[in-house]
Amino acid sequence: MQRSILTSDQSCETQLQRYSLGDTLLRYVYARSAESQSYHQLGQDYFKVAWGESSSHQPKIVFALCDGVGSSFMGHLGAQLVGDDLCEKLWSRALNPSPPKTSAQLIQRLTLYLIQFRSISQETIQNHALPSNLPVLTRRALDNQREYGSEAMFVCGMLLNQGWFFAWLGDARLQVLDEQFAPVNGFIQQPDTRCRWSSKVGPRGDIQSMIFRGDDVKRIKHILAFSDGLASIETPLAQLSDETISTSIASLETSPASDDISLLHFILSNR
Amino acid sequence: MSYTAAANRKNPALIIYLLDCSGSMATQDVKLNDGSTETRMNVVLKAFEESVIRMIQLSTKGTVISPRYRLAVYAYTSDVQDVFGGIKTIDQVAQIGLPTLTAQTQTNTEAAFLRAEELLRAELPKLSVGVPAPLICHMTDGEVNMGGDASIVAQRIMRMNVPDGNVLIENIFVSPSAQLLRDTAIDAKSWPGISSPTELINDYAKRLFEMSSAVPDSYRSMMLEMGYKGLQLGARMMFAGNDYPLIKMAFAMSTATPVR
Repeated sequence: MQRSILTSDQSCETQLQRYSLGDTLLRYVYARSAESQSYHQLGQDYFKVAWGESSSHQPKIVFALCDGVGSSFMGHLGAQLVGDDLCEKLWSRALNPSPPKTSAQLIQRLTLYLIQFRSISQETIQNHALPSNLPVLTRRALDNQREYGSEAMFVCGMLLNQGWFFAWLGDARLQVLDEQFAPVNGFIQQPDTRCRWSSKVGPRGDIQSMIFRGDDVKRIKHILAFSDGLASIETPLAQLSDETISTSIASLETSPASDDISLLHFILSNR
Repeated sequence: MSYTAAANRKNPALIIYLLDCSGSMATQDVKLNDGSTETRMNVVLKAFEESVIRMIQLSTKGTVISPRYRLAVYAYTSDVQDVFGGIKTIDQVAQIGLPTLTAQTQTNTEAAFLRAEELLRAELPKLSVGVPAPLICHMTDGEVNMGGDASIVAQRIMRMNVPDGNVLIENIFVSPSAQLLRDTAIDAKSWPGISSPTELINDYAKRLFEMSSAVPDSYRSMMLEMGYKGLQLGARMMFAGNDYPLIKMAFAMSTATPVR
């Protein structure tokens, strides 16, 4: 089945966009921290969305949104590595051998995927070339980081066989809301800042998961995945207009603690 | 006094190192992990370098270092040497590299604290809301044999403040543990810290205790994250001993300002 893919561009800002994924509307935005912008550095957030025709054999929508850990080696690279791998595994192996029946089963599979991915991710990290003209102390600092690996926090999800499957590790945010912006089935995500994916170890800490099926799926109107750079906005993001979100992001970028920002907001048609 | 302001490029943390370079720093009595010994000076320089590398790591995105920290280093013997020639940002330090210090003659601790006080008087008016409270990290290996009472200057400094809190002073006393502490069985990773002068058996160590700030909660959290799980609430920013892991822990605390 043919699939379409949308990824964030870590080298620049993407103003808030609307994109139609068939009967689902996607609002998304990407902005690097003020510091990364001023130093022309890549953003450490990353997202990827894949979607295709409805089928019983493959997911209809898959997404991953990742927040690279700043003090790890090349957090932007870690975010991209794990984001791409999660989307690929969810897309190609979600039904292998059958769809996950429980959260525990989804967690078990993702944990296994990420542990298997270590050899590839760590090889990529080890082979990542550093500029030859770095000062000695900087090179030592980066080599130490490289030994420790690259890290990222993530939230991912997929729409498969009329069920929404979500998983997250660390402080990457997820909201699943109904038409009145209330949490579906009372779901309030509890992100844990101590957990993260590591290129060297795989998951550090436990992956968390939530699955919605049946009537709960019909109640879902908004799915929001976003990085902690947006966490300080008090009004629920789902209720904010495109213009207000853009204005709020511009305001956050003037803060001394300005962080990378990424948002995926799926608005479902509830047909 | 929350000590919660995070170091970032707009509000960098100011850390002032006062390093005793007296002749006794050439004593080869610091125990390394493999059981061998090394001079106090070499070990201190190694731990200091590791701290600077950690600050670089905490300031690096990609390969660019953000000026999240500002460092001043004063090496002192009978007089005081301004090692970097003023305050340097961490990205500048990465370019300059670290100094090679050699052990010399005497110990004038008061002179070092007076230089730090002078620097703070010039800097504090420039530090606005949002800037972390400055930290003085003082390393010595013994008693003063020149100058006056440094503790009077230290007490003045500890009363200086910014909105984030009073200026912090950390003391590292590098000397055989048996001459300093009642309980010499120290495992840095589980060490609770020093919370009372009664834990010390050396008068100069007790004086350094009084010159040491209490460990702020935010610093303690950072230390726990670094693996120093035993550090207790109420411990002072004071370290006493001659084991390399403890000296490394002491310098790690100088990098424990919250960051964003």
